[in-house]
Amino acid sequence: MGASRWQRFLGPPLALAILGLAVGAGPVAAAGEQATIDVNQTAFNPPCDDDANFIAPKMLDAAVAAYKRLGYGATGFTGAAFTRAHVLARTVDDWGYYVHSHGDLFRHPDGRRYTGFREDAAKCVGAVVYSKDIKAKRNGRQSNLVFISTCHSADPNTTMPDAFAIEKIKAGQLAWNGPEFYVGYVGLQWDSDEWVFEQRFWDALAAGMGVGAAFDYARKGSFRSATFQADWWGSYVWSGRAGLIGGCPHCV
Amino acid sequence: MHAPRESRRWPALLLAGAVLAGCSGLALAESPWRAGERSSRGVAAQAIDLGVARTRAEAIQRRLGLPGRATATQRIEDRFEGRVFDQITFEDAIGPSAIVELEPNGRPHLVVALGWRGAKGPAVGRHVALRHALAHARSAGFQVSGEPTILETADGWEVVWERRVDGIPVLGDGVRLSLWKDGSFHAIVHWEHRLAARPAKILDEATVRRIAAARFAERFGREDAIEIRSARLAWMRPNDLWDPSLPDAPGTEARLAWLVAGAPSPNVKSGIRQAEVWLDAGDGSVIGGDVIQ
Repeated sequence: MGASRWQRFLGPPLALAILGLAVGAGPVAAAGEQATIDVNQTAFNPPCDDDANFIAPKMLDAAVAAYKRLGYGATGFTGAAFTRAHVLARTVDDWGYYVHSHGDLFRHPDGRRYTGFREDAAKCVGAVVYSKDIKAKRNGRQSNLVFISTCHSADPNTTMPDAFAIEKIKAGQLAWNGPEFYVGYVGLQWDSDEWVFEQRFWDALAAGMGVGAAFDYARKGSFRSATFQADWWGSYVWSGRAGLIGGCPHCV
Repeated sequence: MHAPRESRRWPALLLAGAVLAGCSGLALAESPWRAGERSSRGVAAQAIDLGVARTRAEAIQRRLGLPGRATATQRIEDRFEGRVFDQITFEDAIGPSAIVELEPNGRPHLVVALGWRGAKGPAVGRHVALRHALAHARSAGFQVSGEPTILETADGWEVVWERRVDGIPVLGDGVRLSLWKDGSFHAIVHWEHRLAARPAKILDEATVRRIAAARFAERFGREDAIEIRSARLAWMRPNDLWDPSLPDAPGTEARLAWLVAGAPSPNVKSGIRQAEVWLDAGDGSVIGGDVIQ
């Protein structure tokens, strides 16, 4: 599929975005914006788990390659390098973020529940990284492409998009909510289905589809579960490329 | 007499080069897909075949009432699935409006209405959604049968007709159709993978539970790590969950397997919620597995 065809599709909303920038201020991001890819492998392999999981490292490789193709300065972390402290230190500079781990709506020490995921930290059961923690660190900073590859990350009551300043709004074909897109899974999902979905999503993005079209295309994979579900919020027509205007060279 | 010797040498070198290029080309074509690589790529096709595919796709588009006109047709190889499709992209005044993919034999594989147009009418209930789903599937030329799974999603309805062979599900195969909340068409796909020969003799459930327990114990180093909860037969495409030496993409051929599911026992700290080992139904060998984290 030709990339230019899809880039023309992204033109009108991006022009609107540029107009917004002119009046809205904020720093213009340079190329190679930081993306962090965190994958929990320790918890899902012996001796922590009964079954070795060779899907997780593939997810790491695929996500790093995909973010790089989209123009991000992407770095992958796993094992002892993927800790709660590491996530919170890097998130301040992240435009893109991907994580694959155990996820849920966890009870925070403040007594309320927040969407979160477990760090790897080379432990069988790592500490929870709550959306509240990420939100506090980012303090409203804009994100580009955020993919939370965990169970419950896109449940209707998820609190994670807000941590990355992504409203739970679907801006469709003629709408524009900025160069941002949040993807996650609804309920409990098998790793093999997540893997099918992710490789289709990354490949469609690489073909030049916008994030929304890539999501729609990925949703039609060969999933083992009839109840497989993912969801998204953000701008359907955005290219997925790093930066405040989406990095689309033919749009303006 | 150098010239004649040179002239004899060049054809030999060219021949050797051609053989080497051919070999390396062959090797590239047969190298398995690896995580991080693009999984789809364009492949050569006869113009007449692409023309026929385009005409078929236009007919599907008209029957479904999707906007736009066909602007690009190409044959793509999906290296992850090990399949080849003819992909036709439609565009309207705003941009790409739909994708239609057909198998090379003309059978429809996928139709996606792009653009997040959403529902325009009042929301429909489960029974009406199913009626719409059947009508859309028929219009698009997809054959469905049996009792589907109907799931209400954030944006509408998902209707899935699982493929079954002699009553046994082929997981991942079948027809999956998405509707907007008002019952209008969003997307449909049909998957059907090759099936391996059915084993002459199928292991009984008690035997496979014993084998699975041994495999889990072997992996975990203790026998009480996993509590086996269920075992059922299904056609599964082998994967590399238990063996990293296997290709990164699932196998292209489904094998009859016992899916033995278990959960970590209470005395084990684990991040997983459920684990599954897939055992060949004939010989009990591990062909893959899955996990919910």
